Amino acid sequence: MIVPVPPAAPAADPAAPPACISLTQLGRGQCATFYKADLRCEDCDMLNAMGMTDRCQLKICKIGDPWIVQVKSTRIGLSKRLAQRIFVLPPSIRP
Amino acid sequence: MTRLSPDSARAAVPAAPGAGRRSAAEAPRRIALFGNPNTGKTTLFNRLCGLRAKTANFPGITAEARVGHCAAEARGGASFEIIDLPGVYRLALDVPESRVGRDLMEGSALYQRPHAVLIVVDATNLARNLFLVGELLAHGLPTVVALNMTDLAQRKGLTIDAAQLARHIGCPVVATVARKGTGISEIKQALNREIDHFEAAAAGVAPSVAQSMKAIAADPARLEAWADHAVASSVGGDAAVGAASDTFTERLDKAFTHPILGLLIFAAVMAGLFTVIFQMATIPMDIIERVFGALSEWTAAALPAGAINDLLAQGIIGGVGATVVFLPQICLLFFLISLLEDTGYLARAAFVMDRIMCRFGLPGQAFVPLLSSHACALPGIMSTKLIPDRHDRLATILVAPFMSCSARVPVYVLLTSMLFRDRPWLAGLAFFGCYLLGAGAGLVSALIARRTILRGRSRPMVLELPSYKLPALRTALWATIDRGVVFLKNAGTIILAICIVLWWLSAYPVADPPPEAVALRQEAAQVAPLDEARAGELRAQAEALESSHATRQSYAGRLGRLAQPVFAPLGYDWQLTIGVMTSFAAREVFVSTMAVLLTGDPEADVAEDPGLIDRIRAARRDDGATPVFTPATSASLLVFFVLAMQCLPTLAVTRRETGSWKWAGLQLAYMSGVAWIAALLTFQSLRALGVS
Repeated sequence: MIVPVPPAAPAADPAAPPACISLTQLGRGQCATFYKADLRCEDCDMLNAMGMTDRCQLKICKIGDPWIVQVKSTRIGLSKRLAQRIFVLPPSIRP
Repeated sequence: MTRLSPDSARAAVPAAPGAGRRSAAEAPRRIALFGNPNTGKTTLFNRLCGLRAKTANFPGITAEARVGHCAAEARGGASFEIIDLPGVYRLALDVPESRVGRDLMEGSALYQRPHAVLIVVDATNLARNLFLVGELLAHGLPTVVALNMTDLAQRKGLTIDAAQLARHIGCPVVATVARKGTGISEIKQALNREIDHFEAAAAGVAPSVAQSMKAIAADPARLEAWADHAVASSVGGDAAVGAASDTFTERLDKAFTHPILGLLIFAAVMAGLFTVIFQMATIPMDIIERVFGALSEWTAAALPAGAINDLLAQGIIGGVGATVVFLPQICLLFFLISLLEDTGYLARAAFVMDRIMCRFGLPGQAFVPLLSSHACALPGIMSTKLIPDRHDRLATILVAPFMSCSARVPVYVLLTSMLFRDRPWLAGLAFFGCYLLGAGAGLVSALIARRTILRGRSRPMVLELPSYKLPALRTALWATIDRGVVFLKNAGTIILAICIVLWWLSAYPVADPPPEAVALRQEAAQVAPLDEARAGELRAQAEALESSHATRQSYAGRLGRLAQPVFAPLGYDWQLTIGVMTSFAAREVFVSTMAVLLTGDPEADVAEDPGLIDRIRAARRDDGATPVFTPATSASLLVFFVLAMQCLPTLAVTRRETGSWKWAGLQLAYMSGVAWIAALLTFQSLRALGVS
């Protein structure tokens, strides 16, 4: 189930497909597929190095600042301003 | 501090195939120790090298490595020189730690290429750790993988076939539990075997493997597929996303990162940490003070009077003792921080503080260094190593000395007492205001720095949250010893030199006693046979006059007079200017300088002698009518001391941590400028309001 977009949620990335949503729109316990991160290169590289690679599966462990996601065996803490700019494909959509 | 830039840099690049074998007894084999953060890399390093390690600095950057020596496993085998590099996720990242790793592996710049590579991987998180393995294998050096935390992996239901993994990745894999010391000798054997094989047959990692790994490592998607395939072929059990839900970790994470509860827990942890530091450090600090005091007295008594005696007893022993006294605080701070870090809690706490600190352009990790700086800026600045981003780290170092350290307390006591005599609640409020002003100035300065010289917001925080575990005492102890040694080396070099110069400035030239003091001593000699008590009083008065006169005539005193026009707009006469000048070495010196100049009592202590404040308050300027400390002047001085960079050891530590005098100089100039302007505004505003 996709959590409804809250009023304060960031606008969806215009370059992304319509089904692509911000990580912050997912609920706790939901899984999704990482699609893209609208961040500075060095932050993207760091996320990538931590295991958040193209089309990887991630699970939301905690919502709210910080968001905590699990990618494979790695738990990654993300500050709010970073989590808002990570876009995922919700579980119903597979790339 | 060792620098990893030996002159023989390129000479020790592994010899070309077949170009002569190194004698095992001649030189240790250099091993580069790599690993992702939180893989137990440093624990393994400590197991291998123990206390035979020292911290080394990479030229040009603040990243540090530890270099240690490890004995040979078998008789006749080679010993190792192991370089514990900073933890990195990927070698290709554009961060200083990765750049160091790349340069070392390529033997570029000033670095010496290692003979072999030891990579520590976390058995519970194998796929991601293998990214780094793949990148390092592409360099073609003899490589051994230490599959660490295998006990934890077993507890999580994972079974890893090390032999199968080794076959897949093309290098030996040794199962280890670094905390327990399991697998250490196997690592040494594997390293020696791989290097021997490489030197004999020119094939550490088979050239075909290195060649194919080069192509794979260059393409992130292929590297990930390679790592996933390696895991799939060698790991049993299911650690896939969502397969295992660790409710204990999730509950703790929820509490520790909660906006309110997390803040309360953090406040409680920090309060406990600093209470322990202050309580437990008192005893060793007292002991150090007494030891150095006794040593100084013994030296003064043992040597003939003169310049050498003064230099040793007062300049060197006194000066170094005044710095070494902070060693217990530093050691305790690093011990406790190391324990906290090891539990996995600090990563969560960083997020709690990030919400507040990011408004000022600082990351959440800056909070602990800034809080530590309230005890002393030295450990505070040294603990900025927790901050991964260089700009964030520099901004924190620059503003850390704004925090009101314990050395400011005697000055605050003196000046708030001057301002609010018989109104203790107002004095207390002013005291608290000093702490607020310092913290506020630091945070605003950080914001300014991030918008000018260190442009950019603090990096949005992304951190790996390590598993919770019981801290390893041994690791904390080694970290403490390491930081203590670094601090002592600093105290024994730069700080010692500074102490000697400042002592010389304040002790020379030796002035002849003033006529009034000579007369008092003569009178004392006359009355001594009749009234020894009266003679003692006269001698004390003479000594006070002589001390005051000597300070005025010293080079520091003369500099004070010379600099007085600079401080005149702030309301300071020549006596206060001397106080400000002499306290440039350390703030608390201001109180003793004022005591010497205004009361002639060099042993005076504000805390132990309440009458001292009255005597200082009664002191008059050269016109004989105006008090030295008017309310406007006292307020101006208070603001000046809250904001000024009056601590040379801090400057020395800033230089060491930033790797450049440029930042130390900027810190000094900025803080002095801010302090001067703020003190000027305070004095002139109060005067305009009719407060003289």
